[in-house]
Amino acid sequence: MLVEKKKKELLKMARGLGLKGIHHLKKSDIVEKMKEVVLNFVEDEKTTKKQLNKIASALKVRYYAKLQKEILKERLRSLFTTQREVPAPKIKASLSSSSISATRIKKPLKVSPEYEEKPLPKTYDTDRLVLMPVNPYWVHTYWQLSGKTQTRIENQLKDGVKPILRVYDVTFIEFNGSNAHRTLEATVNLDTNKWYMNVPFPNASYIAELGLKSPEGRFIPLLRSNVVKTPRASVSSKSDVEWYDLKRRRRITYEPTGKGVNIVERLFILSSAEFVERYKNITGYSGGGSFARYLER
Amino acid sequence: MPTGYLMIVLHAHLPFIRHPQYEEFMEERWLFEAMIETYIPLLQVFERLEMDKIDFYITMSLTPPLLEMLTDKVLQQKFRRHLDKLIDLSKKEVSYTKNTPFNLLALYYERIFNEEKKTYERYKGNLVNGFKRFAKEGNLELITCAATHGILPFMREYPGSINAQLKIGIQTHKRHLDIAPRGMWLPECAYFSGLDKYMKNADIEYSFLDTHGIVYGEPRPLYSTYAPVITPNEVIFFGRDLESSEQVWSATTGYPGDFSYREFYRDIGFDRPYEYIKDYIDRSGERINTGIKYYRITGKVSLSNKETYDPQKALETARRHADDFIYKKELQTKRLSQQMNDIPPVIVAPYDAELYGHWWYEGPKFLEFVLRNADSSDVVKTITPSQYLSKISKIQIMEVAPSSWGANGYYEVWLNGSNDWIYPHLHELENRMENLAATYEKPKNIEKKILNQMARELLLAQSSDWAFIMSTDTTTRYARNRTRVHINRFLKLNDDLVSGRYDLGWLKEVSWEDNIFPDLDYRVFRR
Repeated sequence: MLVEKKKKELLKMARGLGLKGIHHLKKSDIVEKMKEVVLNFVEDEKTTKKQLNKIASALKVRYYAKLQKEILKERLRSLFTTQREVPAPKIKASLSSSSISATRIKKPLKVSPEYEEKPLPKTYDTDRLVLMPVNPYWVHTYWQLSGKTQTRIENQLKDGVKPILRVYDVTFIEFNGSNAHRTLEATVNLDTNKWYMNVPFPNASYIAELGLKSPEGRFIPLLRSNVVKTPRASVSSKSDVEWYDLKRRRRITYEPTGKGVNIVERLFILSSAEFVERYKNITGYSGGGSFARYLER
Repeated sequence: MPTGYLMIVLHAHLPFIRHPQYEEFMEERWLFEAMIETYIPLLQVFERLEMDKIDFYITMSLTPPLLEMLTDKVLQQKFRRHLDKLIDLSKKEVSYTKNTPFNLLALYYERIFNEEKKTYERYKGNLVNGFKRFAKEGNLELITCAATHGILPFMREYPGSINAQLKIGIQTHKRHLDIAPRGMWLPECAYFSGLDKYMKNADIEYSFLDTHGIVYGEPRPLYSTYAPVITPNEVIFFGRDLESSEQVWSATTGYPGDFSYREFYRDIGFDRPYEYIKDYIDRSGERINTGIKYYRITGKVSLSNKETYDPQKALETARRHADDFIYKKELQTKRLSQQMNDIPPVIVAPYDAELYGHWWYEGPKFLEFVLRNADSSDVVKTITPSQYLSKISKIQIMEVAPSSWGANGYYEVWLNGSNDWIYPHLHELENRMENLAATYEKPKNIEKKILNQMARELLLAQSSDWAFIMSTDTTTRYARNRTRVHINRFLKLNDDLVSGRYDLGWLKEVSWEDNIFPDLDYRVFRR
């Protein structure tokens, strides 16, 4: 509840709403001033979502950008309509709750939560270049460099030498470093550690190399990735149907008597826009992440 | 003989969320809400159908984390408390709404929550008993899922993790349900070429893919998604029917958006004065859904202009929608059977279980009407995968296509700018785990304990749920923390294992909190 905030915080919020010259007021009066401003906007039909967002941001409403306009209005109203008389229980940020929640009923972990919430290692001191398929037209790559390799690269990064990421189309070939069907290349910032690459073909095999390129155009590979195959994005032209006998558990020759069912493919762009619109903010409201999965279908 | 079959598959899954050190924990409510709004109502549907001697057949995947949570004593105790409080709140509502148009609804909620409590106690506080019962009756085919719903295509370079995800899934299913599952729901239907080999190895007979997993297969399918196919590695796949999902999801004709259905957003958790509601919302004072909602969707109007919900009218709508659905399935099967001739068409309709009830409040009722209608139809009958497979002998051989049932059909929901930072860590851990599984052949007792806990931490970090939540950009803090916590715990355990400086008290605490898969043996991570 707003009135329980520290005065300093309240003043900061009030400033965000454009209120000035209120330092001398009591907390409850500051809240009243804020209420007046906020409700003026909330109850005005002409107020845009953008304006509401700005107010919500000043008032530290969570996920405001994701909330539908009407819901955000309700949220903003509720900030001022609910009065708490009893002081709130002392709240401790919990081990991993998205909200501050609940009191512990058992002694705390011996290792403090801070240990576990501490940032993850930046690197594991290994050399690794990994390629992952995203969809038929995109691959993702990330790399990790050992301290040794890092130093080696730093020593060579001068006189116009550039770090380069290459993706080779190696569909149906045993890659030897120079026989790719096609080579895609990007100058990368080594510190970004990751890259998304747009690749030309679905159902094709790709391999990546991270290396250095001299101003003369000579490429020295440092790391090579695994091979990935992009998923198919169309119906196969192969239609020679083969059959299997489930009872005898083996391949059989069989002439089907059915003429076959036409294939209907899905156009993902036609995914029920109105419905999605209606429900897209649902997670912001309930906090149920995986509950929202069906919206993606 | 009916003309064709309808195979309804409900995928029931929630990530493992259990924080025994807290009296209440906001994210644990996901489970409780799903129990109150989906799992218990589904069991009640099955009970009514059984009482009316309706022949119905339905398939459900109960994922390993869900099984572990539903049978967990701590969570059962917390759920009882949660349900009792809800009943308490519904009583308060009856007097609060006196002489208002909402009083009947308040009475309605009080009644159904009490009925839920009875159902819950009838299964001795363990809903798995309920599902088991209908599985024994033969109405329900239960299948499993990968251990923690990990995205298997992202583990392609680490076969040890794929083995572990598949085998622990099956083992957990057996432990809770006493029999080995014949089928497995792949997490997010995410498939890559070659996964079938691992599945075959783990004795998985069949699974499901989204439509394009089948129709982009090679060679192309003769009967589209209306007959299953078998891969050269001998795993059978059923494909999702496009029409059935569109009928439920379409913007213009989709069922759940009907104006007479219950409005999800208007909840008394937000509407009531703070003092009145404070014991029933989050301890922090943050307002959240209670599950008591008095308004219907009404139309494209603002939340403050919603009209009163009428359960009777909504029920009529659900019945009408079920009639429409079965009518369309009859037309579809008739049309398909003319093109198929030698195999009866099967329409595969998979959904997230939590859609029914939690999001679409009337969903379980709709399902009940669908199952009743199918029982009285001569054209289309419901069927389970095992039943269908026993009816056919010939099946097309096909290499099925990499795909998922997430947005846009591939992997981008779990691999994009919001969540790609997790994979360098997961891959590092996956690599270490399979190496350790190979090197520690005869561990000391303490080493074994540490290695098993490392395996648990890795599995929990692999849950697709965290990446998914990061992708939807809501409540991401919890998901990010869970990912970090499990990875950090793994790394510390690894350090302790190698250095031999064991932190026994801490190990005990961590094993007490992350207690999933008590029967786990880390050697399952061998390549």
